[in-house]
Amino acid sequence: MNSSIFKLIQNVSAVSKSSAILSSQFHTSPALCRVVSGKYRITKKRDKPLTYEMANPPHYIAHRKTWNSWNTSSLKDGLRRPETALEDEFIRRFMNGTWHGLVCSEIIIKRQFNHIRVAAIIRRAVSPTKMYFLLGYSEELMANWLHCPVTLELQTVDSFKDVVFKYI
Amino acid sequence: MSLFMKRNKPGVVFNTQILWRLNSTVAENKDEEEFRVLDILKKKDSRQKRIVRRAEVAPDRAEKMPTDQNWGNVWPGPRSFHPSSVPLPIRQGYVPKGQVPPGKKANAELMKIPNFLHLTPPVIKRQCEAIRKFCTEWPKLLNSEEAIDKHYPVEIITSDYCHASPTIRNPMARVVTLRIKLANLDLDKHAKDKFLRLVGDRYDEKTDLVTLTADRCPLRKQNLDYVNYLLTAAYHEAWTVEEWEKEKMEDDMEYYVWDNNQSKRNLIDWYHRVSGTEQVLSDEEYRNYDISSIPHAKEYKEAVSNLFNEGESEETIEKYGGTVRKLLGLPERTV
Amino acid sequence: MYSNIVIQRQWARLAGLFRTLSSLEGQKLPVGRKSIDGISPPVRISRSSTDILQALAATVGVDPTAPHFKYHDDPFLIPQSNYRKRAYALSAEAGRKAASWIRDEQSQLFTTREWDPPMKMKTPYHNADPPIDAFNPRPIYNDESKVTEEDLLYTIQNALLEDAIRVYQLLSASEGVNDDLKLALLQLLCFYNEKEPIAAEWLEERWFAAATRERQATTWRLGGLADKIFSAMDPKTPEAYCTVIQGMAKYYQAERAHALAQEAMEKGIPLSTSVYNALLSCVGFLKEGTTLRIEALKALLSQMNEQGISPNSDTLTSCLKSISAWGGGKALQTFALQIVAEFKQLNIQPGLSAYYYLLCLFCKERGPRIDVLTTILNDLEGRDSLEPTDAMDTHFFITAMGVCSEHLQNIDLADRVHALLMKDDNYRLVGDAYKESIYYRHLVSVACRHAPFEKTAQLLDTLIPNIYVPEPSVMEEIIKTLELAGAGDRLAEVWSQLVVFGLAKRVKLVERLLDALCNCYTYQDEEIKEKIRSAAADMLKFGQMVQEQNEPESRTPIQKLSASALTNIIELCADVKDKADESWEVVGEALARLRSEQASGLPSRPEVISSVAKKAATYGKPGLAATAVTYLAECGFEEATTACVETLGVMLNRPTDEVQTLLREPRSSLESSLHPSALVIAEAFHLAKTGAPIDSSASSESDSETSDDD
Repeated sequence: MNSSIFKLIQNVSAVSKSSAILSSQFHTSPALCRVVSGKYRITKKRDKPLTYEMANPPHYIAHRKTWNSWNTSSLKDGLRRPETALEDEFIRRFMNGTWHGLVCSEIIIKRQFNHIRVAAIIRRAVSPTKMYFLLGYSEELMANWLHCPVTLELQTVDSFKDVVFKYI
Repeated sequence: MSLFMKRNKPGVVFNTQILWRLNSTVAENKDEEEFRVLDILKKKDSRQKRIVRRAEVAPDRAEKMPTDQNWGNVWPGPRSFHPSSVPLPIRQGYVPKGQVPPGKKANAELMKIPNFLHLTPPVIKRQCEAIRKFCTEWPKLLNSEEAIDKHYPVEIITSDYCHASPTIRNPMARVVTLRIKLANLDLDKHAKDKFLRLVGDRYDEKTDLVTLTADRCPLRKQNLDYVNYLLTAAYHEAWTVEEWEKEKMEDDMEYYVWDNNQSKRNLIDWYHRVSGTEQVLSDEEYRNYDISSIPHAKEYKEAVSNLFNEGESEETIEKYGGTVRKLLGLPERTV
Repeated sequence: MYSNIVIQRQWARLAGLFRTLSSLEGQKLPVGRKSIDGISPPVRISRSSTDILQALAATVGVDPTAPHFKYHDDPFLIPQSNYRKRAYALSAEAGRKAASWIRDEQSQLFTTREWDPPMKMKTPYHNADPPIDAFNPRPIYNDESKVTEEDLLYTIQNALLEDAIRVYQLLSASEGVNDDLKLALLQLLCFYNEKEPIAAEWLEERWFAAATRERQATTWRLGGLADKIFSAMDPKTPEAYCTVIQGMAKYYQAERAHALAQEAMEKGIPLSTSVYNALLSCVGFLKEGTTLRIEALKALLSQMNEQGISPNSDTLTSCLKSISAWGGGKALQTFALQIVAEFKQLNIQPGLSAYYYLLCLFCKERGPRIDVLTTILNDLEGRDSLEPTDAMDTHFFITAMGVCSEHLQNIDLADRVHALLMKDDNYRLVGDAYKESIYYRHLVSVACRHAPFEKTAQLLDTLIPNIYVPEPSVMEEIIKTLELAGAGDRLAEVWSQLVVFGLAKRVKLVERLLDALCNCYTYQDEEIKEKIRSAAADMLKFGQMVQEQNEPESRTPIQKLSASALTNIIELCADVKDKADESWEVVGEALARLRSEQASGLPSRPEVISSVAKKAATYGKPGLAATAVTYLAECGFEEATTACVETLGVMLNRPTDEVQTLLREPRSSLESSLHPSALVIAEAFHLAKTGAPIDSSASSESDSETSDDD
């Protein structure tokens, strides 16, 4: 009797060791339902630079950081929600591509009536003449694409180091 | 040799490799038959990066601003915050205890938040003064709500919408609401009753307002016409008496008339039973019976009418109770 | 209370009556902003769609620290010199042009949207509602495009010359073009002389367009498309004649214009006022000599009168244009005044261009001073608003300011002209960038020369650097004014301004500034002196830095500071009492340059160097003293000997007689007893005296001889 029970237990443990599903105790593990976006992993050398925007994970929006895109589409009876979001994405990709390697922060888009104001922080890596060319070009092209007057409100900064908030 | 002396500080581990290299380069200059140094990792070349010439930037324009300047000239319209144009020492950012919040330069958070630097109180005052010439005076006699209500009884409510989008169209802008107080309409009893039945739940009893809303047409003008038409039609309809209205039954009555109802019959029957003269009266007689012969009957009639017309409330129920006691000769209620 | 309501009710009834009356009459009577009866709303004040915006915009004034609003407001992107202003504005415009080109080339991307499968169809799509025309792609016309008459009309109305010509050629090849369009095209071609104008949307290009003075020579294209169309036109309408004559006259084809006019008159075709105006403006090309020309003008005017055509203000302008082109002299001036008086009788006021021509005529550079400007200004200030009617209107203000500055040299008139320009909307009459710079150049020069210093300083503060960056000549004026006023701090700032404006490489200007600094140095406060010294030190470093930077790519030889300039620097920087001050290094640097002959010329005031040498010795910089004195000796100045003696005296702290005896000793003994720098000074002394260094004992004998002579 004892031996049979013992063997039974042995069998069970053997079975549990062999079958992976039973041994991982999948039915008791917590669900992989957590936010992974907008968070940066700590590096060994602790020299990865993070801006204030990057350093605060998304649950701090409206507590420690604010939105990048300001428009009326999220109010009650707000119109054009998907179109506005798509236009914002277009503007962000366009700015990042046109001012390639020069944009040091997130691109901030504010809409007031018809007027779109795009703000960003730019590095002083190219000469002012070239910057003015890019400025005129971006404003005109975006205005013609979105059929709204667009103004750029840029702040120039010496290097990326000036926007770094902490190193992680 | 003096090179060695300089580098050999106490406590510093002297890097013999560099020493050896120095030796070798020195030797190279003298004798080129020596072996060249094999530089596998190429650390030396990578040091000769292109020296980025720091651009000469003018000082901030905020430094030159006099303190008594007209700020409305500097910031005339809505604009994202720019640190070199705003002469304020502002900081923003959440930092752990003991640290200093990030300054105003290269601060994206300050650029994100909407600022009202273009609407300081003196600027608002100046702008109001400038627009004043387009304003006309409010009519003098319309100085209270009652006056306005008296002269302008009809109220039309429309909404205009402004969205941050390239289009100016909004389907909600076509909605037109018309409000009027029932007291301002010239209706007699029958017309009022009919009007209220026509208008239905668009009538609010507490404020005595009839609210007609129209949104079935695509344009605001059309909805306005429609709403005006509705009011006119209802008003005229209320005054016309149709043939079938004569068939109004007691059940259709909107208010309680004691004379036509069971309660009077009950009272008369009871009175007769009490006084001993048992009679069977017809409806006509019931209706026309003069209740002044019955003591306290008038009060009872008023109490029952109030109870039915005004609904149940403490007053009406108490009054009913009181009159019934009087009628039946019961003592007063002692609380 | 009750009685009030009763009264109000009755009043309301009356008011109801009045309301009906007033609504009829209210439209005729002048309405105030009040309600007539207290109940009905007052009449709405009519306003256009932008009136409120304009009223709000009028509350915004000028911000003196800000650049023009076409530049981005960031310290890196604010232009600080004339070159940069032009470069930044034009490069922004170039970016806009690139974006427009993309939009026009790839118009299908901007105007259609593609649906998701399964249909993948393309539908026209416009983001804005109501559609905005300015964001639509412009049509491109090439040889294969299918065109209709509407395209021709569109190109003519938008002044797209080359496109219009191409469309016309395509149309005339396939189908005909109706006569009205042909006439419109002819007018377009004649107005622009078949040369494409800069499009109206490229503001910066127009603003900075090169100021080429159009030669008054015939530039009309003979046998061009305009001529062809005109000759092909049959019958030749009066409008066509007018157009072609005006075009030819505008582009100085005078003979043909007059011939055509003659032909038209013979045929009995009526000509308009503008034609006569155009003919008047080029009548001077037909004849030579003032009298003949005046006769021709008068003849043309009488002809105009015969035809029964009444003149307008453009007639006056054209007459004056012709007259002013014929030179100066009393006859022409009186004739011009006569014409102006005649037109005034006809109640025609001269326009701005007429006044411009009058100024050209009367205020010649070499002529006597005639003050027509005061009368002109009185007239203009009395007018409500100055509207630009003629292309030459923009020249008025710059000429007026030039007259104030050079001819009349009157600051009050200049003030009046400036006030007139700044009034309301008149600033648009400045014209373009070149004219603006000329205007301010004159304004600043007249202010510098004739205005009190505070006013000039105020003016400079408001103008520089955002509105106007001075040219080198004006900068010299400014430096002179500041020097006269003794404003040391402003002079110190001028150096940094020179660097920023890109004028620091002009050596003459820098030297002038140094002279000014030296002159007013002694009257300043301590901190200003400090600033001046740092400015001088910076000047020296700047030349070196420029040299280093430009070494590999030296296209233009860099001018170096002259010896006088270096002397000035030395003088300024040597005024410190502190031994450890960096200014001494600057002094040393400058002296080194002087010695190594990197500076051209000789110093004009060598006594400075000797005093500096003494000071250096006093404050414990014997090396510098030695260098200074050696330099003096090498150059062969007379002061060298005295300088040597005095410096040595100070250094060794002995009276001059002892020093002189010391110097007569042979070199070997000197070597042992003296400090190395003192030795150098001794050598210099001997060099100065004899022209040869003392090395041998023989020279010491000669020294004693010379010293006996002394």
